[in-house]
Amino acid sequence: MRIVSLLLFIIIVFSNVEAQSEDLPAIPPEIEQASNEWPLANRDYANTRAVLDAEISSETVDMLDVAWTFDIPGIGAWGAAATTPLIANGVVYFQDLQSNVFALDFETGEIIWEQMYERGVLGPNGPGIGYGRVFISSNIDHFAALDINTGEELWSVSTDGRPTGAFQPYAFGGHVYLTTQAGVAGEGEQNYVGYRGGTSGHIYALNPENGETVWEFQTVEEGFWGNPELNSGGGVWYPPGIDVETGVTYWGTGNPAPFAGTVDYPNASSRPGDNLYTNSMLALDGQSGELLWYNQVKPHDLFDLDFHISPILTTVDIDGEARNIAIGSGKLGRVVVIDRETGETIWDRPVGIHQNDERQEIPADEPTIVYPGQLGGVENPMALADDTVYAVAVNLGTPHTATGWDAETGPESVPRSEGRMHQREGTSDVVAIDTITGEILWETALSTASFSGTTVVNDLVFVATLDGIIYALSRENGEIVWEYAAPGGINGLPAVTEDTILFPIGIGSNPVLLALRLTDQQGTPTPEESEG
Amino acid sequence: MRIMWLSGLLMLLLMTACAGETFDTGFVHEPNDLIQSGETVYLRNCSRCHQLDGEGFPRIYPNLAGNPLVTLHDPAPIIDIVLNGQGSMPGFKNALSDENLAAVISYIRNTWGNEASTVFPKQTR
Repeated sequence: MRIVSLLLFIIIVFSNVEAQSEDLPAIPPEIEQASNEWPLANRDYANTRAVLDAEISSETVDMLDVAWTFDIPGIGAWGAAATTPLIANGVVYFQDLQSNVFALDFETGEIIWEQMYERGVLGPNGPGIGYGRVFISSNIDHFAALDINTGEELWSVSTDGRPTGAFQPYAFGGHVYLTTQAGVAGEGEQNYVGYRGGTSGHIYALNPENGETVWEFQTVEEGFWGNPELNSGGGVWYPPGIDVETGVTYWGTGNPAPFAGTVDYPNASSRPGDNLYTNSMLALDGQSGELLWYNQVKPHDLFDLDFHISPILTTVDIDGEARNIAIGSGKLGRVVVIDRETGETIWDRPVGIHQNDERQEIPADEPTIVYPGQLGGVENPMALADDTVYAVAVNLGTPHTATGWDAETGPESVPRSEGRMHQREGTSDVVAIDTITGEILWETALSTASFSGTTVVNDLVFVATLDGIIYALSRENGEIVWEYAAPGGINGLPAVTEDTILFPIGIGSNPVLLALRLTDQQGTPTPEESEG
Repeated sequence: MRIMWLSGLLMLLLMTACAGETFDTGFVHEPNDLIQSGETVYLRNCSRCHQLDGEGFPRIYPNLAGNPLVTLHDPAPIIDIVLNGQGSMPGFKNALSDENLAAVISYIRNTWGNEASTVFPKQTR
């Protein structure tokens, strides 16, 4: 009898969860109403990062000037801001790398409300909005929801030690989607230890009303490829593409570890086989979390080469047939178009420098320089407009050894190779690719590394380099038509609407959220002009 | 007896001054050991920005090599920056132990041609 009562209770509880989720509209009203602004991390559920109705264009871009700045208080391991601000219904929602959240007046930059957490995270984090709430990682091991009008915390749920703070949520279909990374949250001197054995990425669909888990998907096969004490991987760093007609969600996943190996298991010998589902695109049913298909783009990766950025969803005409496609990429430095119905690869285009990245064995006693490196390839989201995808590939090699620089464990190898990179020597290639043929239409080289993704605004594509130079390139031929020296370094992504572009300037002596807005006269001189 | 005790204390202080510092843990921190162990701490926490060669990154990450602030006779300013951060650099006072803080500060004060006194854990408290 007691068991029957318990079962009834469980059924009622889960029924309520479903009922609450199902009562909500598929597209949250705040996002629907703000569809002409920038209400999602990559602007829309298709992740296009494209604004084709703004007032900013090649005709007006040199009229941009500073409208306001907002001082960013929270500093983490990667500076103050590694995220995209949201713009919805006249309000800017923003999170810094101490998990602090701000709602600002879009016109003036003045604070409407703030929720201060002062809890360091890795990033890229950031807010998501919907169903009257702002969804965030409030700590390295907590998800939370804030009242969208006041910032009051409505609920907070623990991830049981799984590290978050490196994902910007999407709300859709009566759920909010969040993720955790491979690693553990909080241990000894470190608040985040990546790649502890037996840890993987997890994708969660939560009930936006109360934070209860509706479904959860582990991105790595049970058993961790035969060695759960050592192996890990499959982090999920960027939001999914969501087909708003079917509710199917498309995700990119990260690398397996250890990389390239350890003293006892050189050259990834602890993890034989493909290491599913790392470096893959996953199609998951949005309501149930069921895996519909996967496409592993880089099996058995030795060098931390993710396929991790947000898939872009679109429909193209190929050989007279309309095909729904997802365009994925990541640190592995390849742009890949995949059929959304079957999961089959249609084309696969390398971008940027490739060197040694296909090797399955390297020496233990001397470093092998691998391109793309740990901070290389297509690090940040791409943009899409008019059947052309725009990506920026970072050329920054990483020295690897077979043993992960004499590492005993997965976590040990990460800083030993990452710390030996020469970020200062990194360069970037901005590329435009025909989504139908995979042909590279143009390519423009930049002299430093770029971690700001690409953003289309009418006939321009915006990129920014780590040292704080913002570029506007012609979408027609890749020519640089405008550049602007920001007051600090940039490793966040912009948001655009109407006459304004918001850029997080997260590195330097005074990190700010910068609002550049069209004026009636030419703005601050570009670096080249000021030199003259 | 009392003189002997005082002499012993004086001897201990002199030994500490000459050979390093004795801590509750019982370990003696030799200056060269501090600098050597600081390399690992630097690689893990600092070199991604300030770079392995200490030259930094123009416009965004200051150089440590040849930076007079790093090698001031009084290490207090550089200790303060490492502990509490500055601009977009995070503070490390809650992220690193006193021993690791002393080691990494000693390392950056004595590498890439920099020459200055080492820093001991008690100075980072």
